[in-house]
Formats: sequence, C-alpha cells, structure tokens
Amino acid sequence: MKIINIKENFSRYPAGRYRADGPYNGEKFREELLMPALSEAINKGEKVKVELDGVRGYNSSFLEEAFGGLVRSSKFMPSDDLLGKFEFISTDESLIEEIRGYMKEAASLATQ
Amino acid sequence: MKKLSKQSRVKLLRKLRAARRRSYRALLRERKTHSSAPNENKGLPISIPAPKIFDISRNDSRRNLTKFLRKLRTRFARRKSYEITIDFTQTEKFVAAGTLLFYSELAYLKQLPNNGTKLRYIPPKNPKAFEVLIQIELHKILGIRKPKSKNTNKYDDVLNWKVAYGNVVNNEHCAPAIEAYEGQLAEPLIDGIFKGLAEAMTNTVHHAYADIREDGLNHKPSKNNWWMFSQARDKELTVVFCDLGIGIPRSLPKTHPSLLDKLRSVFGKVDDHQCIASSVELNATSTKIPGRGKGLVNVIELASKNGAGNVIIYSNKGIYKLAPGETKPISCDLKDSILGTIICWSVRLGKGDL
Repeated sequence: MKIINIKENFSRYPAGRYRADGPYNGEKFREELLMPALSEAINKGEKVKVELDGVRGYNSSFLEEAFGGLVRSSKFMPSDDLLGKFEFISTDESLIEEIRGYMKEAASLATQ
Repeated sequence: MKKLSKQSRVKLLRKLRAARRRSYRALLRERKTHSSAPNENKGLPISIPAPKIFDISRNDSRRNLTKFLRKLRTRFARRKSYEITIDFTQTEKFVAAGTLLFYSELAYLKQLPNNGTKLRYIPPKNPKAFEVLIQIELHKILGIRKPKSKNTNKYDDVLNWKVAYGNVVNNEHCAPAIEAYEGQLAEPLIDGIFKGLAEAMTNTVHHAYADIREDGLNHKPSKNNWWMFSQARDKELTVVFCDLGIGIPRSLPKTHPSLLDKLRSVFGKVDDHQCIASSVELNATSTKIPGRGKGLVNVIELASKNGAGNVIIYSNKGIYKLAPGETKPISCDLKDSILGTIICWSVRLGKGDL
C-alpha cells in the first residue's frame, strides 16, 4: 500500500489553493504527491493510505483543490471508484467526511 | 536730548505696538497665501497627534483612529519627501485590533513607491503604552533606532505581543506566535486558529486586492500584504489578522454578484455587516463553482464548531461577532470605515482541555 503522511511528506502547514497562493498549496500537493501515488497504486491494484494527523489546520481551499481537484482532473476513474482507492487516517472523523464531501461534490458537478 | 512728556511716551509706545501688530499680520497673510501649513513649505517636521485609545470596536474611538490614519495618508500623499512626527504623548491604550490597523497602515504607507517621507515618533507618557510600541517593533517600520526604555520586561502582557506578516498563504509565518501557547490550549483550538488564519490569508490573496482601495492614494500594492498580531493577556489569547484591501462588502459583489442582487431584493440597501454575514454563510452547497471559495466557514469555526472562542470580523464599516457555541451572530455597522478587513479570534488559555 502506498502511504502519504502529509506532515512528513509535504508540510505541517498546508494551506491555499493554487501554486501562486503559497508554498504548501492544494494544487502542488495534488500534482506532486497525490496523483503519482494514485497512479502507482492503480497500477499495482493497491490503495493509497493518506495520513492526515499532525498538521496545523487544513483549510477548505487546500482540501477542495487537492481532493476535489483530483476528481476534476479526469485522469482517473469516476469518483465512487476513486473514493474506494483511498484510505484516510485521522483522529478527526469530520475531516475525513469533509474530504469525501469535496470529492463527491466535484464528481456531481462534473456529471452535470 | 529733550525729555518726552509722559503723554508723548504713551503715544509713541502705542504707535510702536501698532506697527508691530501690522507687520505681524502682514507676515501671517503672506504665509497663508503660500501655504495652508507653514511647516510644509519650510520642510520642517509635521507633527500628527495620535489618539488616546487605539480601538475600532466603538464609534468614538474608531472615529479618532480613522481620522488620525487619514491625516497620515494625506501627509504621505501630499509631499514626496519630508518628515512626519507621530506624537503619542496622549496615547494611553493599545487594543489589539486597532493597533494592528495602525501598524498595517504604516507598513503600507512605507511601501508606497518613490516616497521618501521620514517618520519618527514621540513616545507616550504612559510607560506601558510606550512598551507596546517597542514590543511591536514600530521603530523597524519607521526605520529608526530602537528607543530606550526604563521599563523593559516590566509588563508581562506587553511581552506577549507577537507580530507576523507576509504576502502569501503560509502559516509557517504565524506558527511561532501561536505555537508558543501549546499546552495552554487544546489542540482543536490551535487547529481552529490555524484554519482561520489560512482561510483569511487565502481570501486576502484571491480577493482582497482585486481593486484599488478607496483611501485617496490611488495605489494598488504589487503584493497581497497581510499582518498579524497575537497577544496573551488576562489568561486570554487574542489573534488578529489584517489586510488593507477593498474589504468584504466590495469584494462580495465581484465574487458572488447574484448573491448581492438577492440581498438587495430582501433588504433594499445592503449594509457592510450584511455583506460580511452573507459571506460567512456561503458554503460548499451554495457555491457550485469550483474555485469560487467556500465562504468564511473556517474563519468562524473556532466559535461555531469548537464552541470555545470568540470571533469578530471587521470589514469596512461592518462588524460581525460570533460568541462561543452560538449559531446567531451579532452584527452592525459603525460610522467610519477601516478601509480593510480585520479578523479577531480570542480563546481562554487554560490547561489545554476543551
């Protein structure tokens, strides 16, 4: 299983949406960590485990761009299957729900 | 020499006095025709008295502060190079939000291109107020030497003022000011503050500087500047964030034009505080366009979700306040605009439990 620990592999302070926003933005996280990990996991028939704890305050722009943007990128499968490719680990259940919400919302907008 | 009679002496003295008065009046007339402020033409320093209290939460203190800031801006705009002395003699109290507004405005004015205005200040008579100015390092913005004080390290709550600033979305800048209170604040509260700051920074970068600020300077900064203060006092941590952009009431119609039309159909005239409230209430379900923002949901999370802190948003004339655990905010407009947005989070410091 491919593991992404956001604090260790990306930043303790992820924030912002686009690359121009700041150094640890959602677009950069999606393109440099999330997409390569997902491609590798799909090829191997595995899941991507995303460890969310240890980070200071995920803001909505970062999460939406990273995970909602992944659905919008249309390089991968429909969102229901895409959600099944992820295992989110956090002590904050509402955070996992928020991420799932962004992915589902992006998928529903894409099909409209 | 013939000695003058008493009557003649009085007559002569009167004539001399009248001549002096005439020449003094002529001098005044001459100055008035050349300049409204005599010191300007002579290149002498201009002194601007600072208000007694730096606060934006009340009409009277806000009026004094915004009037003072307007004077500063006018002086900066009028001449390319001369000296301004800010006179803090009568200043007694610095409230975090009002002080941050002043600090940000000065930093903004100092960044104006081709402006060689020199700034200095006369310290407050009040020793604690003087310590605040030293602690926030006002001298660094002004480009002067650090003033000497007899009361260094005397006031604990003054030592706890911390400053951060930047122009991108990056919580690393704010981390030292917030993480100093780890152990005294529950983790969700620290997270709540970081979330709020990240959201505020994102809004600053995306929307705040979309147009020219209505401050008369006709200047659009090349960078999306923001400033932050944190202050621990009476077992309460206050974190304040400021941008000197166009304010939520002016950015809302640009980001969500249909929402403003809806508000107009309900209220007729839309006040600034109503724009703030609407901006807070925007959420993922109401903005179906990716990248158009999720409102200020994260900004108020400390009060709405964690139920442990106060959140106040000041934008232009509007104030929006949400108390811990409350769902209904209190909001209103004050008389004067701060020409920007200030967000203020405050939480009780304790053992770190919620």
